[in-house]
Amino acid sequence: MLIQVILNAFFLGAIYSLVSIGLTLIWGTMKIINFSHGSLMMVSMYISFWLWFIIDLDPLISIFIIFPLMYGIGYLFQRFIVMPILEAERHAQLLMTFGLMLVIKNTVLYVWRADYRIILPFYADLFFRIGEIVFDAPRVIAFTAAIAFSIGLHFFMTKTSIGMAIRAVAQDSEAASAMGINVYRIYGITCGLGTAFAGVAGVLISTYYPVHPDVGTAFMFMAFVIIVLGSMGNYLGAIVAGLIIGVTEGITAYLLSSSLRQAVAFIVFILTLLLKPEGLFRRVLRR
Amino acid sequence: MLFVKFDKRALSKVAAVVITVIVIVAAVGGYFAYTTLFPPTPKVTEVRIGCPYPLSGTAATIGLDCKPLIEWFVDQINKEGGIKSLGGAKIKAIFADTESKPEIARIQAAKLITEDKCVVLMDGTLSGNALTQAEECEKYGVPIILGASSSPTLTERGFKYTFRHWAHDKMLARSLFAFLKDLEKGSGKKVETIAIVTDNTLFGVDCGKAYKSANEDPKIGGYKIVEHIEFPIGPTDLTSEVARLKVAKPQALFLAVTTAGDCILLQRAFKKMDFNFWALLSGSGHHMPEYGAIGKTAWYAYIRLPYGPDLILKKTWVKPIADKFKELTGREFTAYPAAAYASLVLIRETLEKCGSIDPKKIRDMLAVIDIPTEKIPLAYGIKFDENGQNIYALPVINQLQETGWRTVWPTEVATVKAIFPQPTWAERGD
Repeated sequence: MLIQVILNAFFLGAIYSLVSIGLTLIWGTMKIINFSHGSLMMVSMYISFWLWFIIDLDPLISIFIIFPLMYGIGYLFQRFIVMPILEAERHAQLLMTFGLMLVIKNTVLYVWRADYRIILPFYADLFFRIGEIVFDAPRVIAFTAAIAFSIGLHFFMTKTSIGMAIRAVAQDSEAASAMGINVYRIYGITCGLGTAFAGVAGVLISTYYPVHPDVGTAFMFMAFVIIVLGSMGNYLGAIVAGLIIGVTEGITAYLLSSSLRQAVAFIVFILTLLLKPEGLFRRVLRR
Repeated sequence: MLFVKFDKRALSKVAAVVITVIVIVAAVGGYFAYTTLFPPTPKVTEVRIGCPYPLSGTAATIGLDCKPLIEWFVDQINKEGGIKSLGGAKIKAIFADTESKPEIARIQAAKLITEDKCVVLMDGTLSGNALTQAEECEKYGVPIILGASSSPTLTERGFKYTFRHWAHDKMLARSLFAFLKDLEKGSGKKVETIAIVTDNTLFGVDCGKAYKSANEDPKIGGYKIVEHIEFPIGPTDLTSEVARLKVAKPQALFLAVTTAGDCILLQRAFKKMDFNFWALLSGSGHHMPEYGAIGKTAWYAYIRLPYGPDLILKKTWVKPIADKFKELTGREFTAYPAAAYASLVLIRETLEKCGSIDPKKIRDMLAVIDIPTEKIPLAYGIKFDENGQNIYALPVINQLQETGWRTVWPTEVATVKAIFPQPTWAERGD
């Protein structure tokens, strides 16, 4: 049973990683903590639900619609909300994104109420066993897709000129600008990419988790822990830290108590920071 | 000597004026003296009822369900002439969003009393919210009617202004255990082990304690508790918790889970991990319509309620209200809106008998009022003991079967037979 627990926790950790990647990308380049990231993820879950409900579109197919849509939303978010406050005081930036989170959440609540929505794709109740170990189809698919997107992101960041530009801006925006990189354009692309990843995470979660206006809160809570643990701005660190936190939570709930799942995850987080204040990995986005 | 010659006609004119002035002054002075000694009772035109409901947050579904029904019923009462003993005063329901958070609930209750001048409050949702609201009501001397908050603590603090017409968790827990004993007798199957699974809200924690307490009574309990899980509300995953349950192998589960979302997560995890048991007995959450959206996976759960949807079959006058609720919200008439409706009936009856908007007088009337079950869409009537707990409160047990939620206990009100033990996941073929 412990192996089953670790496996399920690993799946959960991959989802945490995907949620966190977007957040850490945005922080890494623009030094902005986007409190509305979870709400944007929640919006993508609702889009996934309505596409399934109205035109019977499977969530995994709807990723191809939601990814560019959320990219566009993220780009506009950067253009019209982040840009005006880029040079503002840090607290103003935090309040702005926090306020946006409230606006999004309450707008969704007003339009679609608080009812829990369930997506039931054909594979919702599918599972297979290897011995005593159960592999739950939605979670396996979500895990696989999360890993695939993470690998794709790594390829993008290391092998493409835009990816390298993003890493350059994250390292030193002034130097990057001096080298001819359009920093503001990179900001827009990064914000779009970060939001698109939140969208993908939301779609994958929606295949097994009820959709609700408050759903972003639960995942965002751990996402903030993960991006700090994985060194802020380091997307590879976010991936590894997500898996660590997911597994820590799962094993704690199984061996100790469900009430302690987050407490122990935070203890691991605090101890790591005491020993390595910059996080598990270096701050800079590296190959 | 000074001789003054008076004109008799002039003298009579002056006398008339003086006498008139004296009369006017006496009349005015007398009026003020009278009104000072016997101040007139101002005419009441409006009775304000405070409704601090969760309209956002984890329990928003409950508040958003109850609000349109309350507004509609208040409108009906006003159209029928308002509160007749108050000269036809109209009722006004004033809502305040508690955001499903106890401290916001406290602030909103205080606002409804001090700023909106509500003379009575009604709520029927989260016990955590009710706890803080009741404290504010006690402080300001304004009664609060609780419809669906079941934590025993709410009527064990010696508060004079808290009234709950729903059963509390100790009564509800005992009913679930008594029901399980009846299931054993009816089926010939003996239950040896149970597990308790709750969330970490006040409701969940208190329910957990109530289940343990009921289990200590040898007449209805005496089972071995092989696992007790308390998880944080709104978790991202519950598979580890289900793994613990599977290892412990309880035959029956006693649950207290606030939100439908968490009920769905649990039930699907039970299925995925092939965790089988004979009965799932729930305190809340499972009766929300969203739970049924997972289809057959949701079947066979039991829940204790003050209202069973098939009660309509016995109380035919509830059907138009249920239909109206469906028209207003698109959802089925469940326990929470039924409790809200009952609270409004109680408030109306109290105001009619009391004939006053003085919160103290309303409170005194609530303490003695006796409303028969025929007047409210619940399985019982309303009369409060000295702690504000309804002495008639009687939970019914519903089971989710193929035809929907059906009342299976007590036998006097049951409409179908309970299915026990529930089929295994393999047997369900789902």
